[in-house]
Amino acid sequence: MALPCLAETQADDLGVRQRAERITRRHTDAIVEAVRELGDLGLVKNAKAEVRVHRAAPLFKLYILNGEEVFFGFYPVVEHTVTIDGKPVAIYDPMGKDAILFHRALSDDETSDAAQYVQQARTWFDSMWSTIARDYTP
Amino acid sequence: MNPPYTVAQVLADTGPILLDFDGPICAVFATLPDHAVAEQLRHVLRAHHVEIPHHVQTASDPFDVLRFTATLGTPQLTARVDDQMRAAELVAVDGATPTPYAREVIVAAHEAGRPLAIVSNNSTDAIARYLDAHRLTRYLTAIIGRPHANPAGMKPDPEPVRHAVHAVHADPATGVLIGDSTTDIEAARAAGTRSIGYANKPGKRDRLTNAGADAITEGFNGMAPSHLR
Repeated sequence: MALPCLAETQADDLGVRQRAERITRRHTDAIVEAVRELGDLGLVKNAKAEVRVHRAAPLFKLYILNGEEVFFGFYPVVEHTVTIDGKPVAIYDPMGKDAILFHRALSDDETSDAAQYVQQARTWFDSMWSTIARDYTP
Repeated sequence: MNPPYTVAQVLADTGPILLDFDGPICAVFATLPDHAVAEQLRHVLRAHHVEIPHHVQTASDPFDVLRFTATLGTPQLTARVDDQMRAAELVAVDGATPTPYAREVIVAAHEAGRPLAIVSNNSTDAIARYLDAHRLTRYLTAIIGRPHANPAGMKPDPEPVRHAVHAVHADPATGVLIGDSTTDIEAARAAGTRSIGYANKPGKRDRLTNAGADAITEGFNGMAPSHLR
């Protein structure tokens, strides 16, 4: 993968990729668990979570709520030293923790481009979901 | 023989890190060998009809040739040899081998908020070229390279270390110099900073300890990132 990668060589690395995979797994598991719990507790009538993944490098985050609201945040690339297999490794890493999320909704002021923005976000998401993404079953 | 402190102790007592370049950051003459550079410098001397004594004739270290040149009392020739060395170093750094985990130490120190400076007898331009090529420039506050045509002002003279301490706005006693030569340790002591000897070859541990290093590390693997916080 182009990102995250080793900082020194800018090259893909198995250890670096496996670290990112563990982080992805942790976050998606948490979402799937939370959704299942909503159903189990009877807080929502039907609850279902589906996860699909693609192999492109993560460069931003995008949330689409009910097809009507969109939150978008950039992942700046930062270098930091992490420990992989007990050894320090400097990596270039996409950093989403402090990202500001930009909000657009279909219900925004008609003079804004919000409706187009939400439409385009949905189009992009559906295209990824139905083409290069594959199932990611916990 | 053991140094008085561990690396962790010295790092806990200090903030800013001063790094020697050749050794702790990379092997400068990994592809352009130092003896070839020494020969280039002798070539300059021969072109100026300098009689070269045997120990300089056989020296593999270009710094030996530069230091000898400065004893001749011809500042212009010293400048010319220094320029030739700088030109060779600019070529050499393109083929330099990064020291294992040096990048990790630099990045982790930066993340921990420790100012970083380089104090080296190599040319500032060559060091800057290496750092730029490896995308490390942003982590260094200052590069204190070889004073031009003035080998007496190089380490073990404490002046470059003082200069670096000043550049990172530190008190000398709060800084630590990491170097692989006895001249690094001597310069650090004379400037009043702490020192960690980078013992990357057999025998260096004893030599650097004898020179007065506060601590010794045989590699950077164990140094980042936890000790640097």
